[in-house]
Amino acid sequence: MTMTSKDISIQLESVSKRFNIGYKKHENALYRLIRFLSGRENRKILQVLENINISVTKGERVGIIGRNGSGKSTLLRLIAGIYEVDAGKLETDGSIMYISGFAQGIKSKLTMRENIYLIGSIMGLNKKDVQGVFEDIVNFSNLKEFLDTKVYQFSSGMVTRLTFSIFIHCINCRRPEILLLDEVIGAGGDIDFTKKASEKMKELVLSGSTVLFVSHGLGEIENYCSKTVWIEKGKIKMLGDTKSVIQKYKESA
Amino acid sequence: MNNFIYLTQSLLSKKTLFLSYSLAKTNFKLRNEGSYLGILWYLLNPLSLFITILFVKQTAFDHVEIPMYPIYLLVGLVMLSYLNRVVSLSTDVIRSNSSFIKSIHIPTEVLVVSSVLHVCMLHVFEVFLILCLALFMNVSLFQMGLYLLATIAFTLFLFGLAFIFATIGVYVSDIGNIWSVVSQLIFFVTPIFYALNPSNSLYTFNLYNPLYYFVTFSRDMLIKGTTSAWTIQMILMSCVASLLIGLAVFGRYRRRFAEWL
Repeated sequence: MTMTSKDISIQLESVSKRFNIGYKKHENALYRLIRFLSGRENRKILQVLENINISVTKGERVGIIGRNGSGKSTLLRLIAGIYEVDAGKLETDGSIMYISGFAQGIKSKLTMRENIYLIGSIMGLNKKDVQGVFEDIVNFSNLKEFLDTKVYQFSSGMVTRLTFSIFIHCINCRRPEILLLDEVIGAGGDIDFTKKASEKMKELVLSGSTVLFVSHGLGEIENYCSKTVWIEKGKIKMLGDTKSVIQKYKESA
Repeated sequence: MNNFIYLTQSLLSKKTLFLSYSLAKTNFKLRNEGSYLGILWYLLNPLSLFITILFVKQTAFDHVEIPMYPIYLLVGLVMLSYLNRVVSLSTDVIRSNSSFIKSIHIPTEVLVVSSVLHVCMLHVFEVFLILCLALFMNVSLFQMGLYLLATIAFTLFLFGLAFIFATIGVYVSDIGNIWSVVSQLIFFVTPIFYALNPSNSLYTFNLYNPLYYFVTFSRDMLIKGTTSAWTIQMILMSCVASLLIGLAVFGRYRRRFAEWL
């Protein structure tokens, strides 16, 4: 966690990432033994990211666009430290939070109250922090009368409201310096809640953290990001101000 | 080495412990659907074995006298079931939480610790059963206290083991099948329901079996209140070795787990 300059938040210098996709996933011990004895190994290397250079200053909001499988999520996971970098240099400064989708972690056999505490602690809050945001989560989700109902009795809209409320308030409470959002915009739920949710989301995104967005919703990126990276087949196709990058991206379709 | 130190620091941090505890508590609740009746299912396995073996021994091979045999037997059965549950839960824990690991970046060591804690919570009920039996057979409270210390030592050993199996479980998916065979062998080879004397050829084998020392230690503590220096030495060595190897292996490979899931 060294810094090159005081203002740099994320710095990638010719970063590459390969996946070894030759092995069969969930390979079993018997198969491994036979393969080991026969000395035959089928490997295939997939170059997911190649020679990526990006530098993000503190408080900057950067959009990442590209087609499916171009390596957008891998890029965020590298920055978050979930994957290791194969080659190149990756430096970050500050606490990082990576969120991918809002549907993770809800246990349908627990009550809403228990779920709030569970997800809160998974998101890195301590008990006191969770107690601090508990009231806000309940009020925001508008599900106060169902606090002690088990979640499997909720409608899907109610679950979406609950998860969104928990996640957004937990992020808000932790206030990470770097926020990596992977396809999380757009909350679902009814028209009132969607409006409320996107306002809350906006508030969070504009709260001063460095934000990296991966999204297919180009409108959102246009609204929030000054700079956008277009990744294609693991390489940066274009990097520049959002308007021109998105225009070129649309033309390529 | 850096990995090892980093992992140890993380394991001792308050945050890791809190998260592990709350995950374990949740899983415990989920497993038992919020009712303590679920515990009965958990106790069913060692209890039914206990009653069967007690009965079989009396009718079929009652020629060697083992003092306090019911306690001797129950301690062995319960410890083996503790070991089995820790292994089977920890081999699966990384794989079954892959969505968490990839989408929220939860520290993987938390998952391993929480799985051991979860089994530990269940084990409390078995220990309670043993203490009831010991009370019934007039064992002194002091010896019961010593037995609890032995259980703590065994738990430390299992922590190390859990880290080893959690790592293997990521790379080899059918380790569960292999373990079910190994666990059967352990059941017959370790003196769980019979006693061994040094003239027996199985005894030599058991000199390399850490479970043998832990079972002997617990029984000695509960039944006699004293044990040999050799057993204590081997207990300490097994605990240290299992924790060192477990943390070293896990620390080395955990950064690559996400790619394999």
